[in-house]
Amino acid sequence: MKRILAWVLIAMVAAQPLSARIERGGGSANRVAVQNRSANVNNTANVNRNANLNQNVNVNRNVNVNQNVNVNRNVNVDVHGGYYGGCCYHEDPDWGAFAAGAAVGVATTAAVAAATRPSTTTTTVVTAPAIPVGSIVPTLPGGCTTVASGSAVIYQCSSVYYRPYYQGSSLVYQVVTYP
Amino acid sequence: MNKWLLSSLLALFFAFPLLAQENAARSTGKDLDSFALQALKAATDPIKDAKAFSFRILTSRDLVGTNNQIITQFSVSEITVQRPNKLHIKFRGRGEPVELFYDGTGKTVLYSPSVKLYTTMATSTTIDGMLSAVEQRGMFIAVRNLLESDPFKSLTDDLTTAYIVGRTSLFDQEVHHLAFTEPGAEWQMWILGGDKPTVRRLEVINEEDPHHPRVVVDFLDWDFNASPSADMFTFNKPSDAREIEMLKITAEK
Repeated sequence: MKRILAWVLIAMVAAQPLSARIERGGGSANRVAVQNRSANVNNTANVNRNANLNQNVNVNRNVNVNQNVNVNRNVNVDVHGGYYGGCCYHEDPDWGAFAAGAAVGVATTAAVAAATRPSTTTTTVVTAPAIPVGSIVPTLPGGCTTVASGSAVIYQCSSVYYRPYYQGSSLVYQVVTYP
Repeated sequence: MNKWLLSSLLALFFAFPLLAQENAARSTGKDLDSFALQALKAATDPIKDAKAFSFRILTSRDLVGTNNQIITQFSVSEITVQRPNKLHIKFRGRGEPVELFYDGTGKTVLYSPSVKLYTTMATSTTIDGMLSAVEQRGMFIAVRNLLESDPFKSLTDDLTTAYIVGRTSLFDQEVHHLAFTEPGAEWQMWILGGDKPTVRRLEVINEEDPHHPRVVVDFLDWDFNASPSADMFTFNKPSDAREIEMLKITAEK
């Protein structure tokens, strides 16, 4: 009798329907990395501010221009999709040239400044940050070549190595050490 | 005595689901408007009944950033289904376009034609099993419920409330506005009426996450008489395509 009772109880539990759920998203295992990538261009902004000290009337407006630099650069982050892991921006002729991938680059605020104050174009040399191993990006920078590494596919872009993976339904590239 | 006890237990066994459902309704305050369910069924049964169908979706999906703010990503997908167990999806969002091939033979392939990279996943021979398997591998398909073998059942099994908000205009289109809740989520659907009702828009808010991220899907170009080519669902590997792996899912830090 005890055995029957046990089987009936097991069957009762098993008979409960599995509940369906609406596909709700937002439950990604990893959060999207959001960080300030403007450290180098802030150097440029400082240069602008210094340059603008000579233009007394525009000091306040220049502060705003510098804020615009950050906003615009954030737009670029989204456009180029580099916010997974510490990657750099790629040059975009429509927005002005920013430090891009190379160890040493030349940055100018010409395009940003042009909208409000064309006369303040300045140029400075900045150092791009290193891309941490393990960073994930949705696209490769230009000029990459395939590197032979057993059965794995590895791309070399400048001095950085990327290995492609599928993450969900997206193709992504993870920064790896030299294979 | 034993027979009497056994009969009682069997009666209880069959009555248990109904009792459990009624108790759950009382405890969770279930309130399902039958008209809302009828409208939902009218819009989803054509999806269930079509031998083959295709549609396009525009998706915006909220994710949570490491700085605790919502980060929204956008994608466009072209979806073709052949019942009972064939599916093809073209994903276009961030990065390279990706195609999903599923021909019911138990494996699912993701392929990026522009770079000729692919991966193969052992999944299931049923579309429901396949959708569950790829979800466990971290793949998010916003319209998963509508691709399952019984979309209405998939959407309603766990409902707490179902209401009709009313007729409204969605970007100059007259639609029926429905609102639903279930444990951990609330969602809304907008349905184009007429002789052949179709889903026009779906919004889901995930209440399990304190940020309440939202997924918004706009549905376009429904075709319930699609005639996909025979090879659309099978991945024919180009000779120079290379296989890569899925990125292992890591726990949130």
